[in-house]
Amino acid sequence: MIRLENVTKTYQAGSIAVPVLKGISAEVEEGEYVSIMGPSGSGKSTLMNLLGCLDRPTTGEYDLNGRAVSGMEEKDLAALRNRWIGFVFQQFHLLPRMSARRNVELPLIYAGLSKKEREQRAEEALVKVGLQDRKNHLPAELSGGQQQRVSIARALVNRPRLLLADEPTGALDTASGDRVLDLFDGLHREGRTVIVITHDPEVAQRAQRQIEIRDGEMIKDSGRDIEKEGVR
Amino acid sequence: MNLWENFKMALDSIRSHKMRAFLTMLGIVIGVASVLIIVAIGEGGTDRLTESFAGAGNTINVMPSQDVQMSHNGQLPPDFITRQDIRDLEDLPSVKRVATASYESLDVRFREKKSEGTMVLGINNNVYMDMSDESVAQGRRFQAADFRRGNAGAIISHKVKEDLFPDKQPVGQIIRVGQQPVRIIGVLDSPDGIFGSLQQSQVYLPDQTWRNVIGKNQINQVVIQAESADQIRQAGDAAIQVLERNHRTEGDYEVMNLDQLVKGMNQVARIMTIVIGSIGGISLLVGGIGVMNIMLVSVTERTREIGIRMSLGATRGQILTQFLIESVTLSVLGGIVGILLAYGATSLIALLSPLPAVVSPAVATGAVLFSILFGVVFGLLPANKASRLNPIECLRYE
Repeated sequence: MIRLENVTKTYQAGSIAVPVLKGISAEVEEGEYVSIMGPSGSGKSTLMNLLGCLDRPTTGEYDLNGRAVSGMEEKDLAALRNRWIGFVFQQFHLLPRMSARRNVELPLIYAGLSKKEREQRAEEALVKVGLQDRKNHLPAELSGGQQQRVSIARALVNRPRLLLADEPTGALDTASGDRVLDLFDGLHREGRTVIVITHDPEVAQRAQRQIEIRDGEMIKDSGRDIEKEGVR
Repeated sequence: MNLWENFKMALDSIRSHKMRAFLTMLGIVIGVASVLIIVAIGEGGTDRLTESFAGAGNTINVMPSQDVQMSHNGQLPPDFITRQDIRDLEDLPSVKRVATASYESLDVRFREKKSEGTMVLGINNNVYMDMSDESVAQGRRFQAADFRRGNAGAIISHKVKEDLFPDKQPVGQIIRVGQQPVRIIGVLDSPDGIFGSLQQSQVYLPDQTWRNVIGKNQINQVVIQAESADQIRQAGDAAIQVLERNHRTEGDYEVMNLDQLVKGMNQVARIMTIVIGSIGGISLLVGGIGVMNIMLVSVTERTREIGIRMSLGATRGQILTQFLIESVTLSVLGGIVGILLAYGATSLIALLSPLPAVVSPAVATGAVLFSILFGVVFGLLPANKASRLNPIECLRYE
């Protein structure tokens, strides 16, 4: 489903080029549950942005479901994000002035669904995360764990193939974090591809496959053998 | 995503920043309202101008030519128009009536009270008073018999009444015009509203009486009323022919068509409307810049929202549309409030002054279209800025 081939990302800081990813190659099959671990500054967030089609690699190839993301137009990237990918962020990133249900509806607005359809699907997604009775609450009226579950409902509502989570438990207490991770387990069992980025080994252990990156290079992949320089 | 969704989002966003939205709209509100009010007053003023001259009804002024005026210090030369001329003019088929006016400035007294420098007018029929839009508030107008007598009564203006009869009924009293006693038969209505301050001291007398009272035999003004509007030119040409024949001169007489005067004054009124209207337009422009400014602030403030929306699949075009519609909604709301304000203000003006100020539906529609245009023009820059943001940086934005 995901194929990265010698992907690099270099940022320009003034006149200095800062290489953040130095040639990552990996494959993720459909239905896998993968964690990407690494200390801050290791490039894991940049990798997540690339995987989430928020950004394009400087060099190298990224194929998502057989489509080359590297050469895509902005508009096609937006469509990919909308239909294929669901994001879960550490800071939840809910729109504060909208109710839980309307937050969950957002991806469907961009997908062009009718109001009726949107409401129905949003409620289904909220049922799935166990928050159907909180649908009319504003984010500020919900606990951190509840907000994160709303954001998971939002990530799922357009039935994406890939769920990308960036430190999903980073802002939560242990109990709420466990509940979120339980949800991920369930989604994985349903056959969704889940990629969790974290620096917390306990969170990483919940995945079937652990990838570790450091200084922009993959140093460990429990699923595959990696040679030095991160090239298979 | 359709426009309706965008519009609802815009309303949400405006609702959640009520105070700010209100202040932003204020510039547009004031701009639209001032333009509409100014245009309304301008149109109303033009209407009134046209109306007052239309009331004059197909009239033309007979005047001495430039050369004759020059040689007589701007006055009518003696015998410029004689009684015989008037009779000949009235015999013309295209002429309905001929009105003459004779002026003299004199002091008018009632017992110890004095109205200084009063304009004493002698008129040969009621046409002149009709043209000046004068109506009698007390007593009566001149009747046919008054014009045939040499000792008829006088009609005084409201100002003269105030000067001489502050607390007394003037009709029936005898005043002195110069040295001659004249009985008052009527009092004119006071001009209403803001024109009240412009009122003059005037005493009207039928022309025979005027000649006896003043002791002079001059005619200062001749106005010819044509039978109908399409006979104005014909009447004017015929009048000049008659006058030139009677006086055996050529080129001494000219007619001035009041329609031309009206057109000229309308032009002046239009230019005034344009000038003042464009000042209003500038305030609209400032209002628009206000919208742009606030929208730029709003874009910065909502950087994170933009990032979230992009991560959920919003295209740059959709972000652009969202902010554009928000600025259009803001300025159109402002425009509508401005129109309501203008309606209120013009109704008040119409109530308190003689100016019939009207906001025409066409102008109001124009204002709404203009607000939409303003919203687009001044929303483009902020919306473009929003759509060009990098989603990753937006998501990181605190």
